[in-house]
Amino acid sequence: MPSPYNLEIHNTCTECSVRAERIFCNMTQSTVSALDSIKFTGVYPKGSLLFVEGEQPRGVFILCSGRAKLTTSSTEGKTLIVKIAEPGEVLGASATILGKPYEVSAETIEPAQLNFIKREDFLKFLNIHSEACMHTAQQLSEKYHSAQREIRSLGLSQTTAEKLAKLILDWCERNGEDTPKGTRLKVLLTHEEIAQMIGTTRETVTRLLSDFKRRKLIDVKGSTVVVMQKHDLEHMVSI
Amino acid sequence: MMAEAVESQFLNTEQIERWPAGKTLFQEGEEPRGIYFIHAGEVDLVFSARNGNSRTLRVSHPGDAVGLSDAIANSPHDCTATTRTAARIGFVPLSELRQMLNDSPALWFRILQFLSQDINACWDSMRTISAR
Repeated sequence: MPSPYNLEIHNTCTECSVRAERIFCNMTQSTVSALDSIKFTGVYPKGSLLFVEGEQPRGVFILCSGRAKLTTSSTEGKTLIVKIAEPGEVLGASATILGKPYEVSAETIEPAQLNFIKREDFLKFLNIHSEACMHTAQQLSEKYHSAQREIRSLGLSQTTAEKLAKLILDWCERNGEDTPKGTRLKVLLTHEEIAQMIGTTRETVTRLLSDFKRRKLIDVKGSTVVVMQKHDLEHMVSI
Repeated sequence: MMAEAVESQFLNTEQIERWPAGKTLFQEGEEPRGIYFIHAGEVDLVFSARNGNSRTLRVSHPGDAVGLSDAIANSPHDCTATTRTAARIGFVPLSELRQMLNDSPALWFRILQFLSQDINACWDSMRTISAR
């Protein structure tokens, strides 16, 4: 059946075929039915701004498919990507729970299906369904550990090359596909966005990637990156 | 949203102790034993690299629950917590936390608030570190 951006749209959570694989969504049928009754399903193109840093919380977005970047601004006004959110993540939960402004902005980086739940409905849902609280806690805990890993990388890396090597190795671990040539990755981020993930400039990322290519550590063709010398990249990382 | 009676369950269960400056609550890599509520003083969260370098990249303040996320995920601590100043800290052992959450599901919402605070503190640290 035709759908926007050829996404596989899940209109009801109870009938969602991937629910069991998702930390938040993998709840009992009755809790998921309650979730169905309060969520609004939407399909968003790449580049949609879901909420912005400093905005009063309107509610949470469950990322059903597609990915979104969470960004914040440093005290010097530099944009920093704090996380690339993957399908199954709940966005805006901490601000919604605390009733404080969103601490980060969220923007889709590819077409995405999102289920929006208004703040008052989400809080009521948590109040009634302790199971949903547990699953939200697991989600928040995962986000916390991811943020701690970023802090470690930003704070302990000695050089920008080390930060970039660490980022590429993380991608290999999460989404890499082993091939005879090395580990293949699909990188849909621009050099500017990669720079925002490791707290540097676009020019430095372009220069470092060229350097990695020249040293035959990686090969880049369009959005495909093949990591040929994983071991050498690992040697560059001290954290 | 949460009744005061529920909140007081934490207060009734925790063992509050005075800690001098420079004492370690837990080490990076250790299994979580429980959660630490800071009532007074400050706690450094120290991250270590494989090459032996270590740096304080976050500081926890009164009102924070240290080690909570590791306790919820039951995963080893990802940093070392050391008192920066003399501190008054409440400790709730993991087994009692689990028991309390089983007996009073309403406590989960308080856990969500603590975790949300923790995440905001992490993002704040990232802003500061990236500006250096």
